[in-house]
Amino acid sequence: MQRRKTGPQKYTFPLDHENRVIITRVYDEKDKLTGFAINYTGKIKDKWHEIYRVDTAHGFLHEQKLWKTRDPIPLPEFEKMALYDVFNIFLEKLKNNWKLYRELYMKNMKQD
Amino acid sequence: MSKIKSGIRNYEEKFEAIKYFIDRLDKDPKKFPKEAIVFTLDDEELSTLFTKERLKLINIIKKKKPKSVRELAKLAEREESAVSRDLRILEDFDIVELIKNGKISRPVVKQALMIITIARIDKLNSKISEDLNKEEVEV
Repeated sequence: MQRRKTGPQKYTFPLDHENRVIITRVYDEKDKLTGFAINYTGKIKDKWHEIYRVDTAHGFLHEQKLWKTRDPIPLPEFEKMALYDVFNIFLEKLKNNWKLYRELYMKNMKQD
Repeated sequence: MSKIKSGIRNYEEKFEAIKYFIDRLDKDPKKFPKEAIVFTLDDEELSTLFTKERLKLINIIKKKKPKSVRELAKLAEREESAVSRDLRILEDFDIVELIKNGKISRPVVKQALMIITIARIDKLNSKISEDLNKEEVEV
């Protein structure tokens, strides 16, 4: 099979009909991970909303808790760790908290 | 609308399946499609969402590129109303998009589709069972 050139690779994982995890991985020519993004989006009232995001875009690791603000929260404590490990930590964090994030987002929507 | 129900155990399994997929991806990323929707389903969900009829519709859309839902129904030899119902479910899961041109909607398959089946045992035993983009990815 022909091999593709490098570039971001994006995979959408539906958890059910109204919750999705979208993962982007960026690799270099030698297939080493150089960046990633984890997005959690939820369908609320027939519209998809981005609820939580952690990524390495703009040159630094940061997360966005979008029920609060779009401002990125830098995560300098993880900067020295291998990206593979950082990714696993945040995927685990999402696994344990995505329902709470959704609740908080919906609660915030009602207040607006 | 198809409502795939997932219990706590099921959601945990889905995240384990995501990890499993990413682990395989990291080993040889260029072998995988650049973009795909990846379903992590147990046997029950698999048979609920991907019925034979819906898989047939996906294949017809990809291979024969029908210009309307009516044409798709004719190719599938099914009632247009039944095909429309199935398309709404596939649209809901981002598998198919209906591109409107006046009163006519043209169905298109949005992106590569992969299905990881989750054996309902403690040890995750997954494999990509189908890749409708013919990328022949094996994990």
